[in-house]
Amino acid sequence: MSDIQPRDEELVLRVGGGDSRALEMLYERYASALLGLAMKVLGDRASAEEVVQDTFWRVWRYASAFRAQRGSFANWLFGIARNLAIDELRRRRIRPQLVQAEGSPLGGVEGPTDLAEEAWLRERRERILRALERLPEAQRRVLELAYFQGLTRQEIAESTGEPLGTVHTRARLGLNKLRELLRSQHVQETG
Amino acid sequence: MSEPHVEELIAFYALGALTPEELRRVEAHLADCASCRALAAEAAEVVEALPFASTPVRPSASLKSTLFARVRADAAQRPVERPVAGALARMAGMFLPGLAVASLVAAIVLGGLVFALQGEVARLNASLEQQRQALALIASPGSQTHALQGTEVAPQAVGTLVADPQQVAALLVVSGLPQLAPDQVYQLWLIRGEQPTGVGVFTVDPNGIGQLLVQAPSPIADFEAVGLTVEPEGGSPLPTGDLVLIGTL
Ligand SMILES: [Zn+2]
Repeated sequence: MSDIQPRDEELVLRVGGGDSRALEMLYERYASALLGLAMKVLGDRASAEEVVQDTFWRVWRYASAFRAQRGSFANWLFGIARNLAIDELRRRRIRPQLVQAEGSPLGGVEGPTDLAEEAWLRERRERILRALERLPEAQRRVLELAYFQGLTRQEIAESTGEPLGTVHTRARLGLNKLRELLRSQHVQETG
Repeated sequence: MSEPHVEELIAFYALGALTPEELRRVEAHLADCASCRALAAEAAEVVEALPFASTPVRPSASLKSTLFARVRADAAQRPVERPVAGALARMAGMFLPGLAVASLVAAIVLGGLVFALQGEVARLNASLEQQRQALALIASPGSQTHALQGTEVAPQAVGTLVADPQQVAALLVVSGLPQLAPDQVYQLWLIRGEQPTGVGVFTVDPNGIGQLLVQAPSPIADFEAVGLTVEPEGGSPLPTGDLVLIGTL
């Protein structure tokens, strides 16, 4: 990672002023990671690419709405993409025939890109993957169904055949455990 | 089935997987309960790590070219055309003194409501709920943007109102606004006919940038215009100070 690259926050400020070159730099930085997220949620490339395009379009139009008061630009950006992808998924659940009309679901998700990924982005991914691996399977499943599939607690209870109370407990314990795991990794790395 | 306690819903709130009805319940509760707010903030921090778990996928070249063709076309159109002079003058006239007594009475009644709403906005200010609502507005398919233009008093100022016309929530983002005296605020007005309704106050940072999450008394589609004035601390029941930004809805 090069130190001369402008920081996200500086680039967003420039995008807010109508600088499309700054948006392009953010695109280079994040498009692959966002497409990976959208494909994990939606499973097919065509709609995932639409989500990525829509996400950057919204960054372009609403950059001035980003305020670094809580959380980073990356959290904001991924939050927008996740919301858009889940919205699309929920629309499909209401009108399932759309999925077939769009076609070309991808069998599996492609391997990592050979684009130079920002080191901190890769570290962040490796850290959450390590933590998720150590999470009890049942807890991880509840978190993934809620976050990446947008399933409500009732829908999770139906799809896993577990009582609602169990689903609640798993979500709560899962998040607590995940926080512990992320923290202990952080301590190991920095301490 | 009995209603689950709100605490049971907080993990799903943070995970963004509540039904709209559950979401309203949780947000109403969070506005009043500091311990649940703390739980929600803690959970949200963990959830923010989750999107990074996916494997990156290289986008097609056409994705980038389509996106940036659209962006450059949009950039070429800026700045947005100013509202037609007549509409601007008519709305600006509304902000001048000399209002009829009847509308003043109506405005004082409305003022009570406005202050209640301001209390609400103040509680939500800089909170998780505000962040979530702002994000939801920005990521909502129904959302539209409305450009606000600076008046002669603040020619450098620009603003954007992001709102879904069918909803009561809206997000105002401004930049280029002058710094105010410590006992002054900017107050936003939604205008229907000749009637301005104050919907919140805020101040700007040293760069002249500010934002306000608005809860309008009725859906945004009910209003025709939007204006921003300088008012004494706490806001006014009716506009009294300089009009600095104006736009049509
Ligand atoms: Zn509580």
